Amino acid sequence: MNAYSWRHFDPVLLVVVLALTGYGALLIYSAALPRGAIGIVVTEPVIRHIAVAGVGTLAMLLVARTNYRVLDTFGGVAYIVGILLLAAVLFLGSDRFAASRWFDLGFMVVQASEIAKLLTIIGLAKFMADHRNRMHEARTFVASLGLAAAPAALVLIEPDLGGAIMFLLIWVVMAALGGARLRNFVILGAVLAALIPFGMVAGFSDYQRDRIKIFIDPSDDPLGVAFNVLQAETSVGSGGLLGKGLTEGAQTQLDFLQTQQTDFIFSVLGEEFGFVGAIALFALVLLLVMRGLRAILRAPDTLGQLMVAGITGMIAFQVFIAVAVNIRLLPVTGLPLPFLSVGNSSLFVLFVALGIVQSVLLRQNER
Amino acid sequence: MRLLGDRQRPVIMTSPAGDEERLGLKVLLLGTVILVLFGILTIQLMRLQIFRHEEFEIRAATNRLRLIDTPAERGLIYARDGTLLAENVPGFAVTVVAADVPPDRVHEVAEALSPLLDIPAFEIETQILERHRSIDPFQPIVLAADIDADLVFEIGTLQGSVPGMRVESISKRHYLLGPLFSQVLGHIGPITVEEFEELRADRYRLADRIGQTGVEAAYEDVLRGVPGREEVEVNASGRAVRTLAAEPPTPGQGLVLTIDPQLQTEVEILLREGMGGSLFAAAVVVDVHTGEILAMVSLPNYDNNIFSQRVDEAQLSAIFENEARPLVNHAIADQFPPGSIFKVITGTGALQDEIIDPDQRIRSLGAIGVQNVLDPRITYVFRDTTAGDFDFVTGLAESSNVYFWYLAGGSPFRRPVADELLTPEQQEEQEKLTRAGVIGGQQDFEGLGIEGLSKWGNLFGLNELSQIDLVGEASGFIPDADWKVRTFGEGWGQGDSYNLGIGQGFVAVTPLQMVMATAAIANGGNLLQPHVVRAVLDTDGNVLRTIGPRVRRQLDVEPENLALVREGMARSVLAGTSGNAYFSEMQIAGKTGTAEFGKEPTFRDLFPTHGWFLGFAPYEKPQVAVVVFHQLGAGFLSAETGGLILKAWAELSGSIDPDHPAPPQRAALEGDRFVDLDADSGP
Repeated sequence: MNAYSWRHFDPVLLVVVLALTGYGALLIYSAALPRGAIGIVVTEPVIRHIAVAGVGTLAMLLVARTNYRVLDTFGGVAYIVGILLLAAVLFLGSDRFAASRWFDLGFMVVQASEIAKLLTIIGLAKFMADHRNRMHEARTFVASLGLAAAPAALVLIEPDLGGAIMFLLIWVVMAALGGARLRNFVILGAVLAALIPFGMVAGFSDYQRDRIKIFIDPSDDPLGVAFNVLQAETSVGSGGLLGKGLTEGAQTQLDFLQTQQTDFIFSVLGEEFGFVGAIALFALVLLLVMRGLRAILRAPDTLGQLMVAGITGMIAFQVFIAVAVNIRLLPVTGLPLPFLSVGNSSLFVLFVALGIVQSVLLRQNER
Repeated sequence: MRLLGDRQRPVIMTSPAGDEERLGLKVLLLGTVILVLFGILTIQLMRLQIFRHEEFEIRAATNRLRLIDTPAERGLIYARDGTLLAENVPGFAVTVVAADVPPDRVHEVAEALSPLLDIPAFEIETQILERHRSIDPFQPIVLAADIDADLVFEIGTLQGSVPGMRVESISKRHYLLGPLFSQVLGHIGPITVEEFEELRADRYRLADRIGQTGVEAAYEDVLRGVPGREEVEVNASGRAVRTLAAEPPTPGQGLVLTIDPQLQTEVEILLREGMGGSLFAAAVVVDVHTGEILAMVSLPNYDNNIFSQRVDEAQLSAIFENEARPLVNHAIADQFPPGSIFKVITGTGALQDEIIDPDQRIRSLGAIGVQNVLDPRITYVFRDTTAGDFDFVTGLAESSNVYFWYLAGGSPFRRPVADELLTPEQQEEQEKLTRAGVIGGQQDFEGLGIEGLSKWGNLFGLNELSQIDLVGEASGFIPDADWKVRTFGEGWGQGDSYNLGIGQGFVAVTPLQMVMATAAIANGGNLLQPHVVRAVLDTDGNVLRTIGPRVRRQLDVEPENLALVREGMARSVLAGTSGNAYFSEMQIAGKTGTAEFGKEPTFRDLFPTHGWFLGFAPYEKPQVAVVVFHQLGAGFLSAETGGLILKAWAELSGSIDPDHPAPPQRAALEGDRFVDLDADSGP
């Protein structure tokens, strides 16, 4: 059957992604603006962000052209590569902010978990597609959970609690769509709930415990992480309905905000573009999610469905968490905001992931 | 939900039949969950940005919440007996936070402060502008670290009108005994902008002072404490209006030095009196069992309080331009040729490596000649000041160069000489010497050589840091054959061994290294790590931890060999070159050194010399070792200082035992210097 056709390419998806990336470039421009700069000063992070988007678009088209079914063959390999990457970063990675999450390649820094996330989605999709008739069995259910838990555990050691949670959320979305039974989820939830107190004591590093504790009671450590949370909240709150305007946010420009190009980029948005700017962001993200859900329904096979579902879920949940930590809905976890935060590897992986979605769409009539 | 459900949706063949509907439902559910999550975000955003907007706007505008590091009180330093040596006294500093100075008012601020602080306006302006552009414009700049009390009020009244400026109360370091402890304690000083970039991560402020030398630098981590933190709200001109939260600083821990201030005082006086024409001098007294430094003096010293006060350019340049480098602790940071004090190293090595039987005599005729290997017509003559037949103890006591040249480099006639080449007189002489058991004449004798010499120099720690708890220590230098080839492109010669064996030539050591080597000889072979701090105290003065003896290396030397070296040193005081060190109340041991230095002879064919003395006391049960060094001096003069220092120690420590006075001094036996070769019986 012939039917791989560019007619099915989703231009909306591409436009939304480029709009989000452009939005990010604006915010990075503002956050990275040197103090006392006169006129427009385009700094290196902005240029890199745009450059990665350009290269990413090309990669997206290339991936779209490639039949995603090659991943049926290479799914297992992809998964193992992801695990190896995460293991390697623990030994070889460079420490920034007390966590070893990055490979320093000299010309760019690569965050291993961002790549591993996509590779794990591929691996999970392959496994669940192969076992689609047995996903309702508890054994297969637990096995797939194991496949997601392994990278999650490695990321947790880094330590990166947010990253670990992302792996598990992706698994939930994929397992639910892949045929797992509700009953199994309920049992799993009960077991996890019972383990929480134990996990709080043994499973988390001091830094993670601190962050959770601070979230629960900010007055506990008003001067450490909580200072950032407080400043983020102040930034967003002071933005108001319309915001103070690009590069006009005092909180941003006076560096009250820390890691404002990454974890706290939403605060820059909140301060400078206000509530309206935030709603615009949500609208774009929701449009992207809907196009993703549409792609799930159009996917010609289980492998395609599950990959698209995993990718869509990954983007949606990561945006949610990254925004929530800025407005004091969740403890600080250090997740980049997809498409907006500085982070070359993260951005590039997103483009490749959407390439896979397009690849599935192009072959919707092919079986 | 048009986007979700599509009319043209194809049948999904690969899914089990009937699952299609379920998939649609699940996708719908996923979409709903995501929608709800974003709904939650929207509600929270509405709360923050719309309902509570004004509250946050005020917080952001007036605001400026700021995290300020508050420095901890620096730890106090005490002498061994509890005498306070370093304390903190209140003072006032004028600082500016660049971020609080609007760019268009920088000039005005600089002009206002310039006359009061006596700093050129452009300098203030430059500093503020530089900080503006830096990554941390909130970091206060210190314009004046120590202003007079009467200025405080005057400048204080300006605080309202000069944005960003603040008069801060600070604590200044005060050293109660000033120069007496300056090189040991060192001083603290400002952090440069370059250093600050490195130190930021450790929560240093640009306005902080950091240990620069001595104990202040070596124990910076302990003395500094942990800075506190305050979250304050500041107003538009940067003044703190409200402290929201504070985490108090943890004061630095205190230190107790090993140094006894009374002995230190005595040593300083004695060393100074013995200086004569020396530019600088140093002396160290160490406990031979613990490695504790009981006194350490380097002259000239300086008053380390001048670094705590407002910069006095004249005073500072006097120190920096002084040829004798008062800021340098010459006892640890400077290295010199050791001269004859090195013979204790050569001697120990030669005994242990069985180069020589201690009773074996070697004949010195007052000089030794070495033929050039390539050109036999050239003979290098090494001159000595004594002559006679020396065994180990007398050789060391009288510091016979010839004896130690044999031990170091062997006899000058290393190749067996065919008997027929000797004249009958020479042959007869040789037979007599052999019969009398004296090495000399044309006899073959093998010394330690460069391998043995450098091995023992290294073992005694003369080519490595002693790891004393002070900064700026020099590592000394012991040459080896490879080094000479690499550096000069020529091989190690016998003459080089001769030089090294008596501490001349390429070798260089610090006074501290030599006193630790002496301590090892005195204590039975333990090369200790010297230290000047014996305890760390908490803020209430309780001992947190003590610093005990640490053996760096156990020298593999037979006790009887070390005993022989000690005996030679004791005899050196009683009937040898160290006679000036003698005092009758206690028997001590010592060794002088007069080390040539410089490239040009200054007087006739004589090179200028440094004076050295090593010693320990009491001879029978060693407790302390001493080293004395005088730049441009002589060993016999340094010996006098060294003896007086040991005597001062004996008196202060109450170690004098009236029942065990020193044996009387006697002259080296002039008449019996040579064995009578014509006598019938052997040696």
